[in-house]
Amino acid sequence: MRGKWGMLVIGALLVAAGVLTVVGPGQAAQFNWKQAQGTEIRLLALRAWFTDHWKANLPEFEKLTGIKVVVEDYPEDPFRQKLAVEMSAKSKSVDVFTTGTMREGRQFFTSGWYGDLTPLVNDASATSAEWDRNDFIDAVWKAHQFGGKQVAVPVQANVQLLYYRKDLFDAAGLKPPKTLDELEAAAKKLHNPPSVYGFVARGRKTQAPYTWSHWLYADGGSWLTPDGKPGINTPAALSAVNQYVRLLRTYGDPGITDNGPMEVQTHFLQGRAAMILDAVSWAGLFSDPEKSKVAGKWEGALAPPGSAGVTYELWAWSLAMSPFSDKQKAAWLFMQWATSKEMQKPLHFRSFPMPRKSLWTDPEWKSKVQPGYYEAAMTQVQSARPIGHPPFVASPEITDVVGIAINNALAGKDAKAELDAAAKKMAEILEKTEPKR
Amino acid sequence: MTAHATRGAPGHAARRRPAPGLGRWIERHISWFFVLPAVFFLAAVVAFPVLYTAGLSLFRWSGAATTSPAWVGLSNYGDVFSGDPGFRNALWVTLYFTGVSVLIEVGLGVGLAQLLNREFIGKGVARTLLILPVAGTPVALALVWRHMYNPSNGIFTWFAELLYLPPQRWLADANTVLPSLILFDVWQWTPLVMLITLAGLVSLPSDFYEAAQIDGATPWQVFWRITVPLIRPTVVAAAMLRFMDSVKTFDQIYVTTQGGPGIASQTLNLYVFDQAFQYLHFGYASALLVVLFFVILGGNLVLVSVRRGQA
Repeated sequence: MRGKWGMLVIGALLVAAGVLTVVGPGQAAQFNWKQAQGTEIRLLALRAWFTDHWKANLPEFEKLTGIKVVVEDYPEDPFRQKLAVEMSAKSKSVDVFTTGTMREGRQFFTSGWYGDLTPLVNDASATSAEWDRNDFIDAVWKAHQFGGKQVAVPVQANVQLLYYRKDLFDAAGLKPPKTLDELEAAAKKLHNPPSVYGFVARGRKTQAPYTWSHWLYADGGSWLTPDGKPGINTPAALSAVNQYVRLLRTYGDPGITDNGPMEVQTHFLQGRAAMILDAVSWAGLFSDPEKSKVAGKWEGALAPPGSAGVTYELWAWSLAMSPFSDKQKAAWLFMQWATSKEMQKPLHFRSFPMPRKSLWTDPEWKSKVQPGYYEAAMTQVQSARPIGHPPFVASPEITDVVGIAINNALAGKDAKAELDAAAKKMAEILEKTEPKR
Repeated sequence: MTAHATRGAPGHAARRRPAPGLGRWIERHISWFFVLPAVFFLAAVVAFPVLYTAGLSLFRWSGAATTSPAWVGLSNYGDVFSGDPGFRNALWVTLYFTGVSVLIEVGLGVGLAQLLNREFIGKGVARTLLILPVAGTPVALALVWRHMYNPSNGIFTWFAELLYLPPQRWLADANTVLPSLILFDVWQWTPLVMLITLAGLVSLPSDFYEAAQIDGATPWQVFWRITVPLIRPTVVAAAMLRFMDSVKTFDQIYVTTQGGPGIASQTLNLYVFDQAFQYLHFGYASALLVVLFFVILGGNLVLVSVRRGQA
């Protein structure tokens, strides 16, 4: 009896190995990509360039694994709504979903909305050796852990880079700013409205805190004081808001209070901004002469430090697995494929920065991008930390509270009064939502 | 027929009339059975969600799989009415936005319908052009308007410069954001009011107008004494439609301002969205929805009384 089973297993393995060498020549022969063959999984996704990339390559995945993937993608707000409804109903029909762990990670984790990936990552029969967890940049990988559990796998690694107009800087005899004060001086010198604004950044209530967090940490502040109180009305936070508001109100465009990422991007693309501090992933777009008026005229530099040094803020969209799914094996196979080196490489070469070390050090890519951009982006990505959003269960709500305060200050209201009111509100929210320590 | 059946074979009769009382009852009330599917359908898609929302508003729940909803009685409502500045702001913004835009839409819509209710060259073209905004996708239109309102390079800014007006910041300024959004809403929805009113005007009986003409009434008298009273029910119906839609406006505002700057354009509907789907306060959001429901109900009752009171 035992012999018969043994023969069967060996036979099955041989067949699987044979199949795999045919369909996946690049894959390790011993890993069974077909282990969930015949399953159908549903991906609830954010409509984005990475999702488009997966969709375009899905036939390849279906051929490799025999798993059918139904992709449902929506713009950000309908996506969040749909996801919240499905997860609160403990719906079994979602298997994999897009998530932003830096923003809603703690909220989702305490709600029990993330499946634990740790056992899968450590299981050689579930995880292909080629996928190689150690290829992920450590800082980025660890930003996806809560309570010792791996809750998601990053599909990008974004930091905020200083983009500046090299032509304008050269003409004015300026060097790229090495501190935030130098940035302010440069903005003053180059500000020439309405043709060029000195410095443009996000000001919308939902968007401002992310960019502003750079000032908060550069001035020695943080979201929470060491004794556990809201850190948003400390002297450091106030000086951070003051400089941010001064920069944007004096050297920004007239629409600063309403600026989201799209506006910041458009201003730079159209040549109307001398400097912006925003997503490192926009480099490809800025270099495209068909879409950009500043192709060949810009350079990238490190986000400048403030009086207390610098912390680079990390942002990543990621893939998570639903804990309510009963097709977790298939879901995990899809997640590995979607975040594999083969899938991420073309995106990285299109200047969408990926979380894999091997891609950042790829000599071919390195030779294609501008040296200043490369060095700044590389340095920042390796040490970036998830500080762009308040690290709490109620992160989205606190982000809005802080965002409204900054937004009001940008509209000319008293920064200190705004921050004090926001800190009070934040303390109330923390009291209600944070697990007692 | 009945007598005949009872005289036949007993088994046959039993099959045809299993219970004479029940059969007669069904026959008498057969009309109720025809509407039953509709009743069940309505119960499932309308009554259930409303009752579920009302029920959920009595709990504190984050949707978490780790904790179950906690019964809090009416305390969500207590929070809504006592200590929530976000709610007060949202209620005010909603009433302001809805009130002003519906008033303008009804006024303009009736005027335009009056203009289009006569023969002139290019009438068909004019009507088609006017109806176009209604046919647009709100999200796409909102993106277009967002660009048009851009303070540095939008077309409105260019227009204002042309007229030597001081520079405006439109959506980026708390003082101008609501008027700007109202202008967008008026542009998109006035044609709907116009269309409904026009349909009403076309169907008005001509005898009154002939009588007025014979009596020598001025055009203004004809409009004010005949057209307005006759058309009022139609206009009120259009106003009701616009009111309900306007209170619930979401995509236009979310895409253009996300409720900003600050919370200057955060309507109740946007506030509920944030509470439910960004902050995961499902119980509190349900309480807000129940309040929103009564706001809509109250507004409609006012409009109904306008129609009944003077028609």
